[in-house]
Amino acid sequence: MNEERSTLGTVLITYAALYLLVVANLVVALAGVSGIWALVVAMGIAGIQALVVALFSMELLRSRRSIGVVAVIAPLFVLLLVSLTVVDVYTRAPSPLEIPPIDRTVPSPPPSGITSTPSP
Amino acid sequence: MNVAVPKLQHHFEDIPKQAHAARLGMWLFLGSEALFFSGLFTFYAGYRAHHPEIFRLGVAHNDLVLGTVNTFILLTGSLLISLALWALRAGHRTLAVLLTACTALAGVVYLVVKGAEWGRHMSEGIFPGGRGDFFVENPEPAWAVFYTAYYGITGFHAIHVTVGVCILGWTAWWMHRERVGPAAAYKLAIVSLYWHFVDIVWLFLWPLFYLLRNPA
Repeated sequence: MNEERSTLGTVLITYAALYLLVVANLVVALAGVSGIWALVVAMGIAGIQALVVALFSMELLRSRRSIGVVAVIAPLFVLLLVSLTVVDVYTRAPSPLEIPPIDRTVPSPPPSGITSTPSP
Repeated sequence: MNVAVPKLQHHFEDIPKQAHAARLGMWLFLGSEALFFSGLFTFYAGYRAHHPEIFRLGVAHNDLVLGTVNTFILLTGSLLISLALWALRAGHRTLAVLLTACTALAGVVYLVVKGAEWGRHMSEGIFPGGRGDFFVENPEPAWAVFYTAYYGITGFHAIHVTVGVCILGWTAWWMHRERVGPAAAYKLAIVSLYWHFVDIVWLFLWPLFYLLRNPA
């Protein structure tokens, strides 16, 4: 069975592309792209990198369909969970992720003469 | 055990079917790992959506150079394990042993850099759970959430790298001892799947904790 085999050329081209994508992500960040576009571009490049690694390095392209089903469903569930949570945070009022202030005061000791009685 | 022929388990008809079952099992495991990390990514995404400015400042406070160095280290590790798999399938077992050991070494270097980064943060008074002097000077609670996410997510990822280093070292030793050879290359392929997965997770963590720092 000859499935799941990469040639040396495939490996080298794959990683040349991945290094270029890392540099591209870095350049975009240093160029000062900000806001929602920075997020879209950075996550988009990371997604393309993940796809390249999965297809070529993890040899998904040459694998049987049963493996492909797992490889497609797992990221879909990740996307579903993350996106629905973010939508919930953006749209629900009051926000479910409001952080209460941290109480950093040191509790003062009880006044002398007052002793706690052990409960029976 | 002979390096040439892997042992065929009694419930498989032949080695290719056994190899496919092993690969499918690893993919299922990686699917469950993806769901595990999705909880951590959801934690980050939810709080970043709610506190975008503090999270942006937190990312800007992290060391971009160390994060980028670690990205190149992990990517190089992935390249090395891919080359090791190619070498083993081509019958160059000694080269495969060397490349697999170098992949494990890349993982160790990654952990050293990550440790140095954590050490720098702790010297600044940044500890998980909002503990430390940094959070007295920056009392906004979202700072504590950002650095708890930072320590938690990169920490779980570092645990996965550590496990990967151990498995890679073990596999290199097995190949050196001639217990895994070209005919059983699927065993190295399964190990490489895990290492590539660890790499993919970092490719998303790198922008989230080091790149998304520019003011709107």
